[in-house]
Order: sequence, then structure tokens, then C-alpha cells
Amino acid sequence: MIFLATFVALAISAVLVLAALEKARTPAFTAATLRGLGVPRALALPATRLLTLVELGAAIAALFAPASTLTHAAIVALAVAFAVAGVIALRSHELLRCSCFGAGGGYLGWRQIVALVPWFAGVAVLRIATPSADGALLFALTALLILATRSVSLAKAYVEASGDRKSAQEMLLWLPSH
Amino acid sequence: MATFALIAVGVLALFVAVLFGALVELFRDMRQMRDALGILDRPLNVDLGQVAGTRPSSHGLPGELDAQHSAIVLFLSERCETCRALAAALTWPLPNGLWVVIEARDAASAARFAEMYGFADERITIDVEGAIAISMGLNTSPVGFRVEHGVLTSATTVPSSRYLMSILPELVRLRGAG
Repeated sequence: MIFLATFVALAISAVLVLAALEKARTPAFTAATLRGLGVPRALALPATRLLTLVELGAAIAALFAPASTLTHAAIVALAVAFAVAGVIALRSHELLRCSCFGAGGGYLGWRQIVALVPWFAGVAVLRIATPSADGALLFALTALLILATRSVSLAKAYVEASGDRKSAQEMLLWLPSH
Repeated sequence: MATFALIAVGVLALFVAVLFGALVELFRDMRQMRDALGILDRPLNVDLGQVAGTRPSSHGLPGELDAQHSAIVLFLSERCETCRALAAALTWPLPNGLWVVIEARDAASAARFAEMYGFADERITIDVEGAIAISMGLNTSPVGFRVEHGVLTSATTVPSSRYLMSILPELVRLRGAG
């Protein structure tokens, strides 16, 4: 159970840190989503920054104070907020981009509602057991996990860009004569 | 001390992850610019006219093509730079469904071209003085002709080796069919 709690703390933290980092990098997309959900234009950007901070805070709390009720409350509050956003999006006439991890991504809807189950399950695990590992170690592991996923994205983008460059070189050879 | 070191590792990893994210964005920006410039695998359709629906062998192409369910006949000219780039990118033996015609001024220049790029496959045809191309009314290269059920059905310019690979017919086998 302790191992499971460690894994859950890592997973929750990784997801929230990644979401916070992406929102911090491209806040305009999340702000647009919030406007679509009915947040007034003037408050959309501050609300995005607040959401980013809460996500980051909850992520760090999940690592350094995984047994704290406040941590559990923050995670549950975020999960419920996401689910409510999903419900509002489903009732809306237009499709709303999730912007859960910054720019792009899928649309808000059932996914955020169904995600309540793993969020609640994760919090339940953290209430029953406490991760054995030190918070600092878990933080380093979380950061390395995020770095690993980023590395995969970068490698894919690099391969695609190399193909583009080669294709562009060949295409440019062809263009002047036609 | 160890705690601080681990936190430092985590912060550094997150910083690098953010930098990697920025690099991915740069690659995407480059792709957008290449797309806007029209140098990303931008093929042009070639109007077949009277050639549509005719047997490849009626133009001097290999008779085996008449029996092909699906194939691409790639016309390369020894005088076109993109053709040379495509020739250099070809793998040996040729991919399934690909046939190559080399247009050359004379037999000697065709032999030089074939030798330069290591052409050695029975699916390569040398078109000395462009006899086949003239018969088909072809005046540009590189061009890929699609053969379906033994007749010529369509043709496009082939601006890059990546595009060539994308139009090659895929062999789909049933389970247990070897």
C-alpha cells in the first residue's frame, strides 16, 4: 500500500506540475477556455494564473505533505473544478478546448467528469497510506519524469523537422525549373 | 544536504523541461513557416488526358506492370536535381510496388546515372532519349504514375522522397498468409 501511495503521489504531482508549467507558458489558451466557460474577460487571465498556482501548490503538497487534509482538499477541489468545467462544456452549444496542458489538446466534456474517479481514488489512497519516500526525492523523480516525457516530444518534433528540412531541400531543387 | 541536492535536481530538470518545450514550439513554428511557403511535400496533380486507363506496356513500360494490382511508376530524369535527390534516397531492393523509369539523353548517360546511385533492380527501366515519356506526353519530372488493376489511373509530381514513400502502395496481408 505504501508503494501504491508513493506511485499515486508521483502521478498526481507529475500531472499537476505538467499542467501548471504548460498553463504558465501559454496562459492565453487557458484564459480563452475560462472565458468560454463564462468567466468575465477581465478575470480570465488572473483566474488562469490562480489556477496555475493552485495546481503547482497541490503538486508540491502531494509530494511534501501527502497525508495532509489540506493537500487532499486541494486535489479534490481541482478535480471537482475540472469536472464542473466538463459539465458546463457539455451544456454549452460550442466545443470548448480543454487547454488542460496549455495550447491545443482535446475538448472539455466527459473526460473531465470521468477523471473524477481516478482523482478521488488517488486521494483515497493518500488518506489510507503515506508514501515511504522523502518528499525531495519524489520531487526530483517527478521533475525527471516530466523531463523524460518532454524529451520524447522533443525527439518526435526533431525527427519531423529533419524530414521537413530534407523535403524542403528537395522541393526547392524542383521549384526553380517549374 | 541531500534534500537540497534533490530539490536542486528537480528544479533543474523542470527548467530543462521548459526549455525542451520551447524547442518543440520552435520546431512547430518552422513547420508553419515551411507550410506557408509551400515547401512541405506539395505535389501537383498531372492531367493524364488520353493516357488515363491505358495499359503501361502500350507506352513501352515493362509488361509486368499490366498485371500489377497497385503500383507506382516513378519517372526520374538525369537532368533534374530533385530526381537526383530522390534517386539518392531510394533503398535497394526497391520498396514493394515501386517501379522506376530513368529518362536519359543516351545509353552512356543512363549508365552513369545508374552507376552513381547504385541502381540495380529488375524494376528499373532506362528510357533512352525519352521514348516512353514522349509516348505518354510527359514533359516534367519527377512524376509518379499510379497503376491500378493494370492500367494507368493518375499521376502527381513527386516533390520529395518523403512524399514518394507516402504514396507507395502498402501490402496488407491476411493473418497466416506469410
